[in-house]
Amino acid sequence: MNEPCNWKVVLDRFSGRLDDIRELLTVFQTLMSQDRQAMASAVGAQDANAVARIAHRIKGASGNFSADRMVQIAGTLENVAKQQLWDQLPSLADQLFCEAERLVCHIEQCTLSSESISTS
Amino acid sequence: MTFASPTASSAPSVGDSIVLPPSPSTVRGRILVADDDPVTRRSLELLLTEVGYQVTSAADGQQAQSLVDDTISLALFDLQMPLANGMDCLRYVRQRFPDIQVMMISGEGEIHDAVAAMKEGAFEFIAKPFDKDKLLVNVDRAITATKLSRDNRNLRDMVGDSLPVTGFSPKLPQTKKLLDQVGKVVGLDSTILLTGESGTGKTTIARYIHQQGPRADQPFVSVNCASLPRDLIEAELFGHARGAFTGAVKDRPGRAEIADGGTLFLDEIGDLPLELQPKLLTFLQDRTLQRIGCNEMRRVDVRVIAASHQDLASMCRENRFRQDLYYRLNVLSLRVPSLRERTLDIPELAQHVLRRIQNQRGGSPLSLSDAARNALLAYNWPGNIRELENVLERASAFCDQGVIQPTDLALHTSQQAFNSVVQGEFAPSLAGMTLAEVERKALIDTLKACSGNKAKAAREMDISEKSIYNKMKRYNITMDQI
Repeated sequence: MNEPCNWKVVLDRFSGRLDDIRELLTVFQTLMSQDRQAMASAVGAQDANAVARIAHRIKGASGNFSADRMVQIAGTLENVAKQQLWDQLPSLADQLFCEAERLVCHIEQCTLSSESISTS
Repeated sequence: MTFASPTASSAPSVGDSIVLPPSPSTVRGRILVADDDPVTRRSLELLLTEVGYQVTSAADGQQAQSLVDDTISLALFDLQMPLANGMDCLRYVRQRFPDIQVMMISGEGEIHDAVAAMKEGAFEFIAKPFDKDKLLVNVDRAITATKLSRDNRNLRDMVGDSLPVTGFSPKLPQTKKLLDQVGKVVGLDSTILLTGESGTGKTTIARYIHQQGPRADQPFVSVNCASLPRDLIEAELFGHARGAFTGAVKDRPGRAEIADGGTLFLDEIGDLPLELQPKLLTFLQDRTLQRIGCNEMRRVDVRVIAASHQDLASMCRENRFRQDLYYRLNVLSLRVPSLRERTLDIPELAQHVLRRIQNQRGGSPLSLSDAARNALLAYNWPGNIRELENVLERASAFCDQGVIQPTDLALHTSQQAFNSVVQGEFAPSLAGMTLAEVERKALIDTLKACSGNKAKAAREMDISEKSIYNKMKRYNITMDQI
């Protein structure tokens, strides 16, 4: 499976400042925690606008980490919600948050690796 | 792994609004970032502070609108936000802060909306995920555009064409009436008498009449009759010949002669010594004068504008001012309203004063917090515009980060002094008055203390606003009496 984000682009965007990336990742985790619950409620209530809005926000948030696959899943989820294709929503939402977890783990590993390289 | 809320106390929570200090010592400008996505918001904060910008951030459109003020150099609005979307915020800024440039943040598939935003006046749009270099280039360009727009506005203010008269905005009936009258007299050559409390802007009006009239390219010469020593005022006004008195080592023209072709502004005319008033009367009748110690009559072509905070008619009755001079001066009479009669002008006037202070001192833009603005509106302003200028000058020296708070204004000190005067003036004995008379008096006094604001008076008297209107009708109280 491809890597969940383009680490080189992330490093470049933040001029190699690992502390900034770590802080941003914390914000991302908080958002995912809140949006996971909000998404579950919105899907349960079949609130298409809410699902689309949350998916749109996650799409933007994941773009900051050059997480192309996550951006793509969020974009699909947003469109599916707008079309009210309710049978597809739960699995797409699961995929999205799985990909988010994969992204967080990957960035944590990358920051650790980059840190050890810079200190060695 | 699950997305549990992080335990680190330093982690910003979703929805926070924060102001970040820039990393370098030099602030390049203050940027408002509004996006409901906290990751994008924080990402922008980090990128922009790294290169020296100060960032204020908002999590929704309403919060963004509440944070816009004159200290902001650029606003970045996400197109899709709760409570008010990016387009709403764009329109808000264009309407209320036209100098501030706005850039839209758009997601994939929103390019059409971003183009629409540019048609409505957005400076640029940046698509997510944004390219850092392109973002910083556009931010720099936008901030330069904001600065140019502000400089341009400041220059216009300095030459006085941004308002009909600087500090007088025709939004209130009183001010509009004055400006309408001013507009009618600028082209005439008749003598004008400006009345009104001290510090209301009579000099500004006089200068404006001169600038807008046919004598605009000729001198505007001002004489403050209250500030000149009694024994010097004649020489100052009409000039003197060499040897006319000790110290008169050469011929010297007076201010009236210097104003030849232009306008002579006689400020605080009520303080002109009684013995000098006949000479001024002659001058007003014939436009001729004699320098002290000289027999030669000189003809001078000037327009005369006089001003007084005193009631000249009363002074005439008390023989402290010549009635014939009063009639000669009172050809066209304009009353300049006090600041508490035109409270809606205060925010615009305050901004004008702050821009002037900023121009004089340099440095970051100055602005008022909402609470400070409300405090200015609620205050009574016994010293009028002059007091407002002093209050803002003091506040601008003590405020933090260019934003003036109510405590910086220190209005309570002035209010206490004012209250003691008002209470002394409006608290005669009530003995012998009927209850209706007492109620009428209480109503009038309260309305006066509230500058005619009926809602405020209702709160003070603990009755409904409707009751205020009913009682005003019952007791035949009109706003002229307030």
